[in-house]
Amino acid sequence: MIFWENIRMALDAIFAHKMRSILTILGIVIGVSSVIVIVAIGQGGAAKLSKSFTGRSNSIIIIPSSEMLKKSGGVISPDFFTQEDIQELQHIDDVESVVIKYFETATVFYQKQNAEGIMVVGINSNDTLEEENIEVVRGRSFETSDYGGNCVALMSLEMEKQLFKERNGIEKIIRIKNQPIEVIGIVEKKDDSLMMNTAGVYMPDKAWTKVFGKSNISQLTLRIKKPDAIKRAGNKAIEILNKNHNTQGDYEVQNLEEIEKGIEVVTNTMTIVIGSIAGISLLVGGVGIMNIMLVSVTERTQEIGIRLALGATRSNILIQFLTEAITLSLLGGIVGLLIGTGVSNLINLFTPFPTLVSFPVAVGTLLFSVILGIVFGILPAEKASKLDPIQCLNRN
Amino acid sequence: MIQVHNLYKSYGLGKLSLKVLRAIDLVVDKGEYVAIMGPSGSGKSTLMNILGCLDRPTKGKYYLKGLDVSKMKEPELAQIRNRTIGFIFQQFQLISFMSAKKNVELPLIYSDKPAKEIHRRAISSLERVGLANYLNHKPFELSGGQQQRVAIARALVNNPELLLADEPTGSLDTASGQVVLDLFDELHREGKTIIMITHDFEIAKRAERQVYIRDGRILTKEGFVR
Ligand SMILES: Nc1ncnc2c1ncn2[C@@H]1O[C@H](COP(=O)(O)OP(=O)(O)OP(=O)(O)O)[C@@H](O)[C@H]1O
Ligand SMILES: [Mg+2]
Repeated sequence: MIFWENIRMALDAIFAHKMRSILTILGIVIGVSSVIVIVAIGQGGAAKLSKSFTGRSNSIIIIPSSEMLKKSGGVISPDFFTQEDIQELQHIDDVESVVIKYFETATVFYQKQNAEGIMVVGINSNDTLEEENIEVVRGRSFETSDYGGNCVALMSLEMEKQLFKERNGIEKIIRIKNQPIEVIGIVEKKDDSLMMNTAGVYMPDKAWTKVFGKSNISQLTLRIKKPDAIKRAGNKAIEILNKNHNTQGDYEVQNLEEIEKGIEVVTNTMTIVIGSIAGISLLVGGVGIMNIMLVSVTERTQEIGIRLALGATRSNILIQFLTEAITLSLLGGIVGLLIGTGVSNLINLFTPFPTLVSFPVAVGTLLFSVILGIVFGILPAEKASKLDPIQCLNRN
Repeated sequence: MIQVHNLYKSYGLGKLSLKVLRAIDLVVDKGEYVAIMGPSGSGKSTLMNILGCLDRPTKGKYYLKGLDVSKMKEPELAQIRNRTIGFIFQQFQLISFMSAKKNVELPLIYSDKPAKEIHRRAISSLERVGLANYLNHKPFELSGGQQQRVAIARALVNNPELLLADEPTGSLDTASGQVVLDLFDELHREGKTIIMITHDFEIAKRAERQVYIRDGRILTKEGFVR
């Protein structure tokens, strides 16, 4: 019999028994939508989750190896990281961006006031601020034009407290190494652990270089697109750096093993959570389908008898009821997918969890519902196909 | 068309088995119109189900169009029910959630006809029984007589040679029964082979030949008229 005819017949039967069909797919709808939501939170929040385990969001810091420091007596050459390195690292597939930092301690002046031993940090993009959970509490953050060489700075609340009694540091001109710098914003480290809210100044990299007259990159951080690519990207970066500088083992990824372990824990936890929810939904939804299909077969014996009398073969009947089960559970999958996506979007809007329903997950769920329909539909379909036509016709 | 020789049907096994049909010999020629009569429980429906390939005899031979039915496998029997036989039942046996047209389409669907042909033939078959205006009615929206005409349209739609009717007017009032019987006369004139079970002598008289069954045996063979 024609494939489409089976689908049409299944849809006819499904719509003819609306209430029963809704009850049948309810389990699948609930199961699939909860899996979609969990996966959406998982995928959207993978970065956030892994951050809570590794302390950083998918990023790795490249440092001089301990052997190298031993050899050189702790001295790092000014060209340990070069602009060419950065260019090349930026082109690694898994790397989203290269974040660099310049450090120097200096005395910061404002009119007659001064503060000594202040950490002045040069950064090449606002990503660094985000990375370190630094938020602007007053004024504004750096704009793209500021990275073109504007002598501007952000200062921490603590820094402002030391220099400005009135707490009115914004738009004031401070001086570092006699270079006038405009304060455009006051920042604070959010979710901070005790000690980090120290006095500090942030400047765009160009301005920093102008002030200190040098451009030694002190720290290089790679932001990686996906947590599971961290190891690959890290190794690739080390390889490039060693090649560029003609060295061996001078570069190292900080805490690579720890990061990996953290990610492993995250992925494992997510797999367990998603796996058990998927498992429960499979059971609940599948058993629901099987139950109601079995009832349906009993209720529809007359129909089965009629079909057999009109020339349906036993396999026609089997395929009919199997198609019905598959169509039902696929419908459940589609409805579940829609509801799950809706709920995910609501979560995205109203809670701090970012969510993402990806195409492969959507396709996967639908495929999964089809398999569910086959597995749990086969028994009722088998039962239907084995009925005796005469008994079916006499049952009235 | 039909040759039955020394056919037995019993239910159950051993000493307790119930012999419903015994030593049945029956020949029905192509184009014949035969009425089967007999008291309730005499085995008429059982015989009809065997003739219709819905059931198998316990013993004996049944040749349909010269083919030995007892040797056939399930898919072949299904094909015979689909192409060679049209069933008409006392209880109409329409699928309740499907429209008249969809009910009539079923035999064509099971013979893998293209959608256009299915559509066209279902409509012309319903026109033939005078129900052109009831294509989308569900069975419960039709009177008994109309339902039986839908069932006849369904039995005819695949153009079978043999019509098997088990008390086709049993659930109908006289007037709608007449409509059905007139249709049968017409089909008989067109050359269909018809076997009809009935309790009613008046109705049986409209057939060319009557076969009387009692206790699972055929009493008279040729030309029995009371
Ligand atoms: N599946 C079965 N198992 C056991 N006995 C059966 C079965 N089917 C029918 N019988 C018995 O076979 C006998 C003949 O039944 P059948 O239905 O052929 O009678 P009938 O002549 O059609 O009667 P009616 O005029 O009431 O329709 C009855 O005694 C019935 O009880
Ligand atoms: Mg009967």
